[in-house]
Amino acid sequence: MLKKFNCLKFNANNFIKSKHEVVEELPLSIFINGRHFVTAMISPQMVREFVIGYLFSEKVIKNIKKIESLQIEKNIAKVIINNPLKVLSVKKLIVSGCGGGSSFLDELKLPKISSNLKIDVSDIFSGLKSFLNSDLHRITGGVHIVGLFHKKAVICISEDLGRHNALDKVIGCGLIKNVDFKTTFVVCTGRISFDMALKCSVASIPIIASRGATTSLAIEIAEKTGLTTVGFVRGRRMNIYTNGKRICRIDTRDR
Amino acid sequence: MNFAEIKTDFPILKDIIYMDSASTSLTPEPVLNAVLKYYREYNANVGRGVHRLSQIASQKYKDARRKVADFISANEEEVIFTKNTTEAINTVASGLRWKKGDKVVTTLLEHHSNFLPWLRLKSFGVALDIVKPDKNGKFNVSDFEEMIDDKTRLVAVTYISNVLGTITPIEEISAICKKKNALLLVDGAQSVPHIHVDVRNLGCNFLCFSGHKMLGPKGTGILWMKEDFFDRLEPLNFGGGMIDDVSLNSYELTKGYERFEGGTPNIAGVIGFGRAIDYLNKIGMDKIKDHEAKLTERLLEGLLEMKRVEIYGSLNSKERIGIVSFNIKGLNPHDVALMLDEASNIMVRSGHLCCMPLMKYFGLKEGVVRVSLYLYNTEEEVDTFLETVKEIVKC
Repeated sequence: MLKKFNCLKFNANNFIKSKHEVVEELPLSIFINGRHFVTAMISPQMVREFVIGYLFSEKVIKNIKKIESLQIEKNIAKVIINNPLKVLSVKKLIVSGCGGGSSFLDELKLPKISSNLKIDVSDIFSGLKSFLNSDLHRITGGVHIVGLFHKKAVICISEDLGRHNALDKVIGCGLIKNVDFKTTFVVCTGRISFDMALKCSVASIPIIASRGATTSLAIEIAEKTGLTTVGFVRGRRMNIYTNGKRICRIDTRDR
Repeated sequence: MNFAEIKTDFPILKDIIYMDSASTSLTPEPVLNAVLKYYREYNANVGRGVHRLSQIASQKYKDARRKVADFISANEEEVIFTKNTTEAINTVASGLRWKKGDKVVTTLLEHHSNFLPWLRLKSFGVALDIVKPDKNGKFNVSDFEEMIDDKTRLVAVTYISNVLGTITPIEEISAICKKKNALLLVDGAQSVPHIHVDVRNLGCNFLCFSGHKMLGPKGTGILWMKEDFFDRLEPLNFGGGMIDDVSLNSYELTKGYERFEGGTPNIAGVIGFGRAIDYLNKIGMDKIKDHEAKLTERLLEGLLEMKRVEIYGSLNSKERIGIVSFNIKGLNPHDVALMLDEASNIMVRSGHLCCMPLMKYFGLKEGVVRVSLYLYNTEEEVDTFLETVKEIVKC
């Protein structure tokens, strides 16, 4: 995931020839039924998970069974979905932040999350703690991390230069493992923008918590879809913006 | 999946009892649908076009190759699609550059398709030595040790006899071949459909088998070999899709398996074969093996109780699979097969089973009656078969 590059370092008054590790970026072209669908800039790991998660959160497929074939060769992912002659096109929407994000925003078509999941604040803290020590995150400072959890258990953790990509990867991983998303929650390092909220809502993941901030549109969407959004998870603090009934302190007695 | 349930995938079984799977298996609905879907929805040639249909067809064709490779624990690049086992064996027999004085060792158990391609080499000055089994079809491995010498370039053996159902000790033969520096070709036509075959452990250089004997469409077969043999083997067919460059005076073959697949392949068949492998995997090869072993035991026990019935091959069910050949004293095997069909709609094979040398060795002028079972056969069917044979024996 890392590549060393020559680098001229400026320190005080001197330029010093050096090498520095930077995060790899892969332009992945996804072809659906023989037609180019989209090219995404991603970190070159968990490519299969990314493709599956992306197609799912983009509502191209309803479930993993709709994918008849998925072949990945270098930077090309070829997908065949049930009706081979169906041509799909991406509705372009310019989104905030990097990575491309989500391509649809129709309030009338927003999904509704129905989940009785309740988690303890400590689940969120321990979730974040479990990946913040990631080498990659520490070395480059250039990747986002997303973890998918069930109570205190890790289902999947992904790293990507785009936070949307990292989220798509854990969703893809969940689909491959046949996870019931209604019983899971997501903890991430990046900002919760509207598309992060939307991807969770499409997948029926009831809770997203981040070390970063949340945007106004994400909160508006979360209110409509029933998603719990939690921002600024740091130390022993966090801000719960929407649907706070899912976050409780069951573990208080044990402490 | 329940073995009784899968019958619904074979509508042909509503009217008949099919016990001739060693010849060719039935084809379940999902495989037929996969074939039809190709023709109806993305009919195109593979590896040749840039248009959408060609890309979809190429992807599905490649998927099938991966499925076959995974099924025998091989690499995708080592799997070559052929018409059938016969074509796979002929690709090797015709493709190797033989020298006068070379020797091939084969056995008396072989199907004509693993016998004639080697016998034909006699005209090129290649000698053929034949290992004989005992009366039960069992080999004495030391016979191979004696027969294989420094002139032996290749040993061709069947993994499972299509007449006796007996299993050949391939790994032991492979050890001898390695020691004596001879190539080993295994005819897997009767083994790959019924038992788990792993080319990493088998120790052969070539494995040949057929898709149409394992729920796939007719016209599908496999030649498996390691890539380092590609240069040592001349392709059987020359034509489209197998070259990197052609000029007026020369050509350059592709490096990969495509060099052995000249001409438009059986695309729909191969895609259907891939679907057949999914079908087998979903049930599980171990479960299929156990199911067939149970039926075979019942079948053997039933036949053994009957007077006038003579069974060929080992009676130990651990040494064999569900291919059982027999005769009823005083009756022509073809007549027995006809009676089974007429009385109970049971389809069995009769005659020399493309194994004339073996039939001559056993002194069976008219051949045998052969029952061969697969995953869609049931205990009730075996019982119906036994009852019918009992009736035939009485007459």
